[in-house]
Amino acid sequence: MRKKKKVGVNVASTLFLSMLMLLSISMHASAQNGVRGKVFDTMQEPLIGVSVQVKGTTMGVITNIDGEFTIGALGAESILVFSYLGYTTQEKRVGNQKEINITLAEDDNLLNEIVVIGYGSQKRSDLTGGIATLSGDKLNNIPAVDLSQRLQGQVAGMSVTLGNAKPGEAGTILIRGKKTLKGSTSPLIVLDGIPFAGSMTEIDQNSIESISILKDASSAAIYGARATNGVILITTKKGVVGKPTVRYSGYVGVQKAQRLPNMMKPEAYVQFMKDYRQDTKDPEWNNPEAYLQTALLENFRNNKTTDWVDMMFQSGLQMEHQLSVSGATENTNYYVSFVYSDQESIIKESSGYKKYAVTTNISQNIGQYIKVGTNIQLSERDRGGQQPKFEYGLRMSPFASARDEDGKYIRYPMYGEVMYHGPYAEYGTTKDDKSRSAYLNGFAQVDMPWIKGLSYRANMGSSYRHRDRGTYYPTTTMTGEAALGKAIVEANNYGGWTWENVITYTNSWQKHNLNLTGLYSAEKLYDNENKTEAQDFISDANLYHNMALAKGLTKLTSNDKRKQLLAYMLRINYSYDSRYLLTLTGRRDGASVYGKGNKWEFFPSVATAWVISEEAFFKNLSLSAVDHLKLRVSYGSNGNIYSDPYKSFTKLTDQDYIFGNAHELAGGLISGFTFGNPNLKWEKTDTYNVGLDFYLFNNSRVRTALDIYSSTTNNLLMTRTVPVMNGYTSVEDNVGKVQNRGVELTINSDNIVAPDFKWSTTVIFAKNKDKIIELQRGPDGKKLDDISNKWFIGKPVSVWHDYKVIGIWQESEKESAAKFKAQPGDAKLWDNGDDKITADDRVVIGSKAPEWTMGMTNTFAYKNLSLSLFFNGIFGAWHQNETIKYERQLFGKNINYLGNIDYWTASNPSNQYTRLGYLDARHNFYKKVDIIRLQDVNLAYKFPKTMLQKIGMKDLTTYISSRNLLTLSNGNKYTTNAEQEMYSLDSTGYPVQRTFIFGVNLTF
Amino acid sequence: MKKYMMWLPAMILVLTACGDSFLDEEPKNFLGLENVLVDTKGFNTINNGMYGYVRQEFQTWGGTNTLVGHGACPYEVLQTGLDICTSTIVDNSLALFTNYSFNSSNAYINNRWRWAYGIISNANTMINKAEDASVNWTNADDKVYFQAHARFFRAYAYRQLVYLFGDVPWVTVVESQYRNDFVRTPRMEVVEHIIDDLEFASKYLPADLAKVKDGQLTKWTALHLLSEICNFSGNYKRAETAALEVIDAPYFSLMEARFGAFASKPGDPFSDMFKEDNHNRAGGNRESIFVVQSGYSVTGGSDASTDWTRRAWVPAYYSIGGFIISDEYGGRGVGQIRPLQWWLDSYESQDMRNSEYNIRREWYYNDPASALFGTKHVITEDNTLRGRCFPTTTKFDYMPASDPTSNGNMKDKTRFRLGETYLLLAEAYINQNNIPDATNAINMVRNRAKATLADEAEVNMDYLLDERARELLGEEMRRFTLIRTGKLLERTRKYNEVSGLAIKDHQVLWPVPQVVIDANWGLKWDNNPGWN
Repeated sequence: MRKKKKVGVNVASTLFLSMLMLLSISMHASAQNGVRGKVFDTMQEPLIGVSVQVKGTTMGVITNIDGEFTIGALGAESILVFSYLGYTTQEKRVGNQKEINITLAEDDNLLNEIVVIGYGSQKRSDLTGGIATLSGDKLNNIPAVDLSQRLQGQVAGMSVTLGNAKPGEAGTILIRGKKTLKGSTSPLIVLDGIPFAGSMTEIDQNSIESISILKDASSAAIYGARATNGVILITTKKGVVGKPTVRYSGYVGVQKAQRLPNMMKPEAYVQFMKDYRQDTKDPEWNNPEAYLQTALLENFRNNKTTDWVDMMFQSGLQMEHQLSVSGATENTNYYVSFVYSDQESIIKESSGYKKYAVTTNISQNIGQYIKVGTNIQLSERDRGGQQPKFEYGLRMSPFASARDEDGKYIRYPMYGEVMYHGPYAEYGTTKDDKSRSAYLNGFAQVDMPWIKGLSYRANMGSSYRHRDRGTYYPTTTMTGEAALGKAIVEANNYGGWTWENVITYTNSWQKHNLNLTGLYSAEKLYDNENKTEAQDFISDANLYHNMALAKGLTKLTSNDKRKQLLAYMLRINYSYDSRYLLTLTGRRDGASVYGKGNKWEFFPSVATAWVISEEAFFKNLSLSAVDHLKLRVSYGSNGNIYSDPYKSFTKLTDQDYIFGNAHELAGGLISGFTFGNPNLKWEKTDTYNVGLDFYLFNNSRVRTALDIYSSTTNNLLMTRTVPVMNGYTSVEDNVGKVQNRGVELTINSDNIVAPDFKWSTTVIFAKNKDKIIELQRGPDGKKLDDISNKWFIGKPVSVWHDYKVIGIWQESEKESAAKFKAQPGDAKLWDNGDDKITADDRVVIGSKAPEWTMGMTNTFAYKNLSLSLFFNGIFGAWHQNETIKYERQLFGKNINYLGNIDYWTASNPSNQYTRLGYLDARHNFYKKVDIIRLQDVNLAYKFPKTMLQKIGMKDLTTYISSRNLLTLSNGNKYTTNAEQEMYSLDSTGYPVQRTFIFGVNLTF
Repeated sequence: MKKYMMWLPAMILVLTACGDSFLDEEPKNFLGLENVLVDTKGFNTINNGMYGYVRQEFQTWGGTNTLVGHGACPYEVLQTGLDICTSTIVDNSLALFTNYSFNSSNAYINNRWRWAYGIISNANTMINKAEDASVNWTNADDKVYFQAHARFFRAYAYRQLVYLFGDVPWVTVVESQYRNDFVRTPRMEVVEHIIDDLEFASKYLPADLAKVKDGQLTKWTALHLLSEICNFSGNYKRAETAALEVIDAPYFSLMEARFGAFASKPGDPFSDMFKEDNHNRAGGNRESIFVVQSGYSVTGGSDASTDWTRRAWVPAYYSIGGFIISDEYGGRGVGQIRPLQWWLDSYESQDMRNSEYNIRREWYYNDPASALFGTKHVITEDNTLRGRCFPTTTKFDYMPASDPTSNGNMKDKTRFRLGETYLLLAEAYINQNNIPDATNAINMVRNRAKATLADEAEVNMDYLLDERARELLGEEMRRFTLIRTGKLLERTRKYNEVSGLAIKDHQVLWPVPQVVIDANWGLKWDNNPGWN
């Protein structure tokens, strides 16, 4: 241990010293004359904030509000460099001119785009790794309140799954498949340079300048320890030099469930019950009066029905308003934004989601060499309100009444069956749930004055998040009645700090370009909670605000988790003649979550790129169609850490008891079934990536990036299931290998570029295949499956393993069915040929992960009008379909059921659904699901500048937009969210919303 | 300029000074065994935890601190499919045990195994750590006191395993490096270990009931269980002497007079034993030997999923129009299992256990809003099959006033009582062909119930099993009793027309859970005969 630490220090010191040795000093300046001038864009609008630099010197100025500049004391040989973000840089020799007016053209050469790569940025043409980028503009008009949802389907190889579509819930992001069994699968999020420990829902979704997604190991390697799952770098907006810009953007719209379960209507329901009873040999099957609960009988006789689905769901308003002010002077840059989002619930009698966020980015130059700044994000999110148990509401018989004569909600609408209480049984509950977060980042950058290209930057990040929840169930509610009033107060605090020290050195000589980045960072995270529950209140009036008033049972909980990380990193970017590019990264990481002696690990990576199109031989080929051709090859090693600390300890759990009629408390502890492993060590992933970028036709009309990768994860963190006779059933362990292989393709094409009409298409395609290479070996060295964890050699990480339903036994197969003790209408299970269904007949049904995903955006622009259509497709994932596992549906209780299930009866020999009386708890049903979604449609009109100038406006865009307008899926009819891993009526999940909005972007 | 240059190396030194101690983990939010099992207080804490864990014997779903949630009907699966009751059509997971179509993947079977080995694991830790010389005991005999508890709990768990599964691995340590090559120990060898444990426990558990709290283990708890397991092992003499030790102890007597909080209400001594707070000795009950402590809504008490016996035996009469949930009909039953007719018919009319306070046979519509209010309900076959109305025991009635639809039954549960000790004694005598003494033992119980005393001529194992059903219905796990006496197949086929036809010879034993076989890949086990 001691020894290892020394190595760490030595590595770091050596790295920094070697950097120092590479330093060289170069500074010149000569001066004579002054020049002034004006810079315009192609529309002859003055350009504000253009940098005008004297080439080869540090001398420079910035154009003012009118696009004017003055620069003094120049020689005739001096060359002025005019550069402006998003515009092609131009150079102009001064000669004897006193006035230089210049027009800058918008830079549509994407190779010059500056890409944030983590601890720095690079020109796209210089990238060696697999990095995808998204611009904030692209994300801004998507009507989803959360950033994670806006990223859905945007990047090849990055999937965003909304398991729960409830507003305020973040989507699950996965980059290039699952590489781990038990470790975290979430990519690392870096907000304005600082690792972000929060939820993406806390980020101001409208202040995004750009997002870079580091997908391959070499580009992610600078974040070594947590980079296995990729890295998402989020950069927020900054000011632009010139007059302050005031911008409003907002929208108002409506949303409703994209799809609601199609529960049986009264007639179908009655027929269904008869069919069920007939199938279960009820002699009274044809007489519903014999089995309908009393609570339903009257309504059944009078044919008084309730459409529960219709009653429980509604359309809700959704809106967002953002106001931002930004600007910059030569030395100060600021951006301030306030955003308010409000999304009503689409479930009646329930509250929606509100979010407020403030972003403040300020930076200040102090003298010539020092720059300090701060990025602050504050947010408050309100997720309060007791949501009705709509899943139970779906199950209510059409003959059940929701309210009594007094208009009050009935607790048990199907009285006699009290397992499914009414959806509003907890109506009247107070539930407050507020989350607040503050991310405070500060940085100081010092450009070393005596060594050109050397700079030091300190980043300090501090985060503080808390979630306050208070719930009170008054005595009028189901819970409150039993407890005589029940209150819960819960506070969660999360936070931490990050301290990073970055030294960079950049130098160019002849055709060589060198960039060195050295890093030392320390990070500490904490997570603690306090929870108090109390029962039996004197009055309902105090809600949860005075827990001391409780007379009954109280329960106290508190928890505390901490983890610490340390890292050293050195990255070398070198290029020769813009043709040969090389990136070397070495990173040493220490994490507290591993066992003593296993805390440190080294993660190296190397990436090279060859810009073939810059080679003379290539140019000689005169392939006019190919503008840019680059080959990228990389290798990298990355780590993964547990999200929870203390895995190397065995924990005792609380297990109290009482003695005697006086209930004397006997405080107890007991060992559960989990055993800590003090030898736990790093999980490491090695990835090889080959990429090809080619830009084709007529000034890069078609831009393509193709990546092929293969990664192997070793020392997998996994919870191993062991025989309980050991004294426990699970132990955290490092075992085995997982492989991920995949292809990603991104094509951007400007199909038509005419003066008044443009049509462009972006297609992304990704296919990832994961498989388990090795888990554990038997005594004879043979690789073994792990059936209890459903892990199989050669199969994907997350699979369904079960008996396979291959059809339904039909009347004509009566005799064969009998061999398996089955009857017509039962599920026909795959059998290995021994004419018995045994545990050996279980097979891997399929992977839970999709086989491939695809996204396509088409944008049509006619003059100032543009239309964009984004289709997102997810193909070939297997889902468990519990909705047709009748055993779980308890039909005997007369509850309602899906209306579009073509179940088997003697007269309807379905081969897909069994008879209604079929019960076999052994197996479930599965479905391979494809989803194609018209995810976003946006029609925008940009008002002409000439018109706006008269009213002093810079930009005005109005648009109408719809999200989730159309979803086609063979999984649709079982659920409200075809992306859910398991389709189940009991946890059907908050429905995915379809949104229609009208929006305005307005800039002064 | 030069002075700035000084900064860099200095800075690097400062930065790298952040040492390895920064990465140390010092968890504050839990305790480990290593810092608890160090003194008497720590052992007592784990011991209390053991009581709490054992209470989860029939825990259905997850409540607070649930270690094993067995599923909806873990208690019922040890009652149905045999000679005393059958399941209604309420729960499909239970139906599998009535028609014998369960298999090795069944959750109840797996959870029974898991629950038992969880206890065994904690017991082994206590037994072994107590041997550590560094433990700081308050009293010299604390060591054997806790070891006696642990060995009783271990025996209590193994008893279930050997009854249900036959051969099971006998383990005495928690493995620091996990294994997956466990060997099944022959059933009767495990039984001998159980006897050792119980002999030890009976020697070192407290004998003086004046010095223990209600609910705690005593010498007599261990002896009662020892008598039972010796009736299984074949050591009938010890079964006899162990039972006699309990019977002869100065603490116990059969309840023959009214007692407890409900003594002034209509009822009889037998019904008094099953009223809230009457299970414990503090309630006046001199029959109780081992009582699992519950308690509604109290810290350390059971939760709504700990005990669903009321859901099991009390029918869902409120599903019939004209009925609402009420205390007088036992609260919110679900009617999972109903007694078989022979059991109802097996009582003499004067038998106290057959009184209206102990078996509910009549229902009157109780919904004041109903036109039928106050009139007698005629039980239909359909309602019986659906669990809505049937004659049943009142032992498990329960309804908290504030929570009429509560799932749980938070009354204490008597696991062992003197009435059974007499019947275990009778069993030991029958096993030794000593019918006169067996008859006397049985008649102790019948005498209290005011039933006609048994005649030696009629007493045999079947008579005893009938008597056990009359006395202990719902209290004993009938499956254990029938396995122990070797009468499972015979009596199921004789008394239960559904299960009797369904059961196959090999189904006396449960299959070993498939997940256990899968996890023990280092040594492939054949499942119990017939279950592969």
